[in-house]
Amino acid sequence: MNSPFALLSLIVAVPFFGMLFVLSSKDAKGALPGRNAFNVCVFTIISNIILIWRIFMILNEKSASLQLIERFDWLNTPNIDIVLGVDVFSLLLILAVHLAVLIGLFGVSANTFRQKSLMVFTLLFLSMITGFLVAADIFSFYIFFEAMLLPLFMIIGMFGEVRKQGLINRFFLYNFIGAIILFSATMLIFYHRGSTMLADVGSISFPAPLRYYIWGAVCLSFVSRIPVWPFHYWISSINSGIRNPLAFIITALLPLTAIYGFIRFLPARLPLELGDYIMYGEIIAVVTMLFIALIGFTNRDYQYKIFAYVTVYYILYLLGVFVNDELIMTSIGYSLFCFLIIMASLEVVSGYIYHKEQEAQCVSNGFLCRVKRLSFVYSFITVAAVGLPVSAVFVNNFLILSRLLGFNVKMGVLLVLSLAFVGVTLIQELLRLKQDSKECRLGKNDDISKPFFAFMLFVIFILLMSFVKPLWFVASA
Amino acid sequence: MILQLFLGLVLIALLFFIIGQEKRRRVWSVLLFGAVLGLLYAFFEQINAIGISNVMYDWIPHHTLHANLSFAAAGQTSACLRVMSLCLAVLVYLNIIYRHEEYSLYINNFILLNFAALIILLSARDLLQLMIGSCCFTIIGFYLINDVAAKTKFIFYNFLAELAIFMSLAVVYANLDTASLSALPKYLKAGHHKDLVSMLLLGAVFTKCGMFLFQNQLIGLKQLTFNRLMTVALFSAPLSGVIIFARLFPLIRVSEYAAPVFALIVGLSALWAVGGALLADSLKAKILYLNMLFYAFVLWQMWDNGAVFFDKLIYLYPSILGIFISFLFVSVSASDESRLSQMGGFARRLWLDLALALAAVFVFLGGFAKSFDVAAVWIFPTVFLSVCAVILRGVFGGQSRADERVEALLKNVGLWYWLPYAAALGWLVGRFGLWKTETVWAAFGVFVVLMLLAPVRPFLKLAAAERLQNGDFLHRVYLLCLIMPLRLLGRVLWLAIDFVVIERSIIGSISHSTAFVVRFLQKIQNTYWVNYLIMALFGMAVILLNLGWYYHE
Repeated sequence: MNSPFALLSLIVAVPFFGMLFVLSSKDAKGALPGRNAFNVCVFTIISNIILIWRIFMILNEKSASLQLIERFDWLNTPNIDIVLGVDVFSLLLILAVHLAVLIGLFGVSANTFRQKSLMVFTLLFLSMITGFLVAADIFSFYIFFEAMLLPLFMIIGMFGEVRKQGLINRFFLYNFIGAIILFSATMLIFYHRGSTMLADVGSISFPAPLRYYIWGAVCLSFVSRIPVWPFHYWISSINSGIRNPLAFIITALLPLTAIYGFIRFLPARLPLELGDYIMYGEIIAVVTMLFIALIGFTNRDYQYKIFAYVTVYYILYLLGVFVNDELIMTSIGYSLFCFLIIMASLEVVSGYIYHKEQEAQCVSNGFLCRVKRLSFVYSFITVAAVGLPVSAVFVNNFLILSRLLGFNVKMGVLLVLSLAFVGVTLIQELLRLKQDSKECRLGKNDDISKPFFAFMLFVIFILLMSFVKPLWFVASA
Repeated sequence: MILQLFLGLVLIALLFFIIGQEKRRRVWSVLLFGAVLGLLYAFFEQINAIGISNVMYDWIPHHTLHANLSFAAAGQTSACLRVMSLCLAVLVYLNIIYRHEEYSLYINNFILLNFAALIILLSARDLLQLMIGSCCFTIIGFYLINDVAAKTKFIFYNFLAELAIFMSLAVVYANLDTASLSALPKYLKAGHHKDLVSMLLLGAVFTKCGMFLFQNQLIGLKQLTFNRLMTVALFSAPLSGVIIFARLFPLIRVSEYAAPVFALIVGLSALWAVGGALLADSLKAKILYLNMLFYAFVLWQMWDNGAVFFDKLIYLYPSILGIFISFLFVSVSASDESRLSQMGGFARRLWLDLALALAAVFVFLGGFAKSFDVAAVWIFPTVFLSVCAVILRGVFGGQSRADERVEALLKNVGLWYWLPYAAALGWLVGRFGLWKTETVWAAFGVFVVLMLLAPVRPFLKLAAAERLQNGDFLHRVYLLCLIMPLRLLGRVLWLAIDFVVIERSIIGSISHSTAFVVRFLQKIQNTYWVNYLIMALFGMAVILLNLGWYYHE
């Protein structure tokens, strides 16, 4: 199916043009700095969500292949075209990323520190990640895969913690190495086969030494973006150091690109020689999961706890990807959709509590006993985050885990143990906020505003509906 | 019909959450009570007329995973719902009149949702619905508890139990490729990891039912008011635990380790419960230990046949609730005093409370004799009622130990309490003809004699032992043996691996080696003759190596 009105290009372009509008925006006299930029950003994202919804309506949800193909001539010699296309999986992720960023925007609505710059780089990132998720050829895939690092680099530079110089060094080090090796693998694939379509990559058979290099390079470049040991350290230090909810959400979306990369690149049948290496990779991944879950359980910093939660779930999805099963891929898509929304909501409400705590210069223990609206939202998000049946995460994680348990029961046990640890960690945080303390000076007036509450109720509605039917917003579903 | 009941309960609860105000809680609660009674009446009228109600919603129609949400009221399920409806009405009414419940409307809404969760669990025909029902009980229980310490224990224990169920059913699904409960025999024949599944499920059931080693989550409820602790202990997680046991009973029994583990834990639970019920000073704690004893009996009975829960055991719930409510009456009459050491000699002034308690015991005996072959299971009623006799003797018999305030304000429970209670007991006696059995009268006679003679003093002496009454032995053990080492391990991993290995060694060495290379390159590009010499020699070496390679090839 070809795309009417170049819809896919449009959803990549809208955030980019939104960014240009933000750049040219000026604040009215007396308004908060960056207010206009914020409004433009929100409007842009909502517009794009409507477009995405429109694409869902014309997409054949039962087809597993890429649809709405758009082809643009780029180079004649060598013959390289830029091709865009989507399936339900990638479109779900695009929608989830937009919703996560929208939730993040509500978390920084009162922010006045470099608001305009944040909006500019947020929209640029959104444009790039959308481009990455609709890329159907290896070159556009590579270009967008690397291009999204620029806004990320700027965001970390602006909103990172005190040691941000070191963080940026690490960010550059890992991603630069990843970029070089992925570039070499991309060139080798093109040189060897001449085909640039992502869908063909999995079916290409390479000679033995080259096969090792290409798949090794692809895996290494993707893994460098997932918090798997020893690559977890740069992501953990960046995530735990950022106190701006939107910046945190954007950096926490980076591992998603790696998981998506694995899904698009992995061959339908893994070469036998890779089996052993993948097994070692899985062992490292499971140990990392347990390791980070344990650290999250111990650490008192809420940001690290959320990082531990995010990491454990990303690794679960990564392991699910290696099962290479059609049902599991669908489950990962549905689960990731809710997971990203939950992660963003959790970060925003936790960030809100942290900022209130900083303003009042007191502990937030028992804060939730005094604020009804925030208490409801926080409790619900925690219940959803730990995997109880209030969102699509529950059913789909059950399916992913069942496959992983069927594949290797010992690994499955460790996975569930890690999930238990992060679940307990989040519940612990919820109970801390519900245990009343005299030292807490926050009161009823510190509750979230009614518009914010209404928005969070809408988010909760989305999660609940996703539990009933994952594609509830599509008329034919 | 069943779907209407389910949706009706959920909608009433949500509606009252939104419109209900705590300022006029009783008025709102009465409205809610009326709505619920109307809904239940309409439902059972229709069930009586038609006999069966089944609704199925095609939830996940994927070809490799077909899951339905089913709602069914027929046979066992219908009987179970009848009994639970009676308990639901009693609990909702109790919350309206119990003056210490500040948030009666809030708790009543959750009781309705708890009943809705029961419908989900009872109607389950596949693994997913079973898990959803079980999780709903945990979530609702979490909101029913208003003490943070009790809430913490409840949620942690139950969350881990849910994960154990989740994992075991994921293993089963991985083997079967279908979520249908009717396919379980296939797993029993040819499935893998049966021991793991069995042990996980057994652990989950024990945890949910608050059996030995996992009793803290329920005993911790003693900080709650009577109405809340009875609701949670009798109708929340433990009820979901036994229903899961009944539905997955073949999976639990499949392992050869299951029988000894089951016998050991259930036996120890019963012993612990009896000891606790006798030694605890608080009436609330006594209720919780008696509840533990009851659930130990329920599980014991279900070991041979899971269906016995729906056939017989379910009918014990109203009478057990009746006995627990009679303890609540004592506390209400004694100005909310709940310590046995501060009671005694109340028989004359609280004659109505005593009569009601004895009536509750009679109903329990009658109900038990009606459902069970007493000769085969005499041990449970004997032990249970012996403990009750000691408690009632401590409350009503002997000399008064109450302080002046309690003594001065002692009075029988009010009309709003006793009249509906007596009516309900009377209805049960009349409806099931409990008074007709001679054995029941004989047993009741023995109970009365036991109550008159029961020794109380040895137990009262231990009332002042703070460690015994409030000590949390098991929590300390878990803290020392499980949580502390895990925290320590997490700390060590963070410091040792993250900081020392990655930060200092890997990243540090990369930074240092980059700096070294940069310095080296800077040095050899300095305008010294030694550098020119080195570069010239290096260039010659490269040329020579290439030449050598060329001739070798």
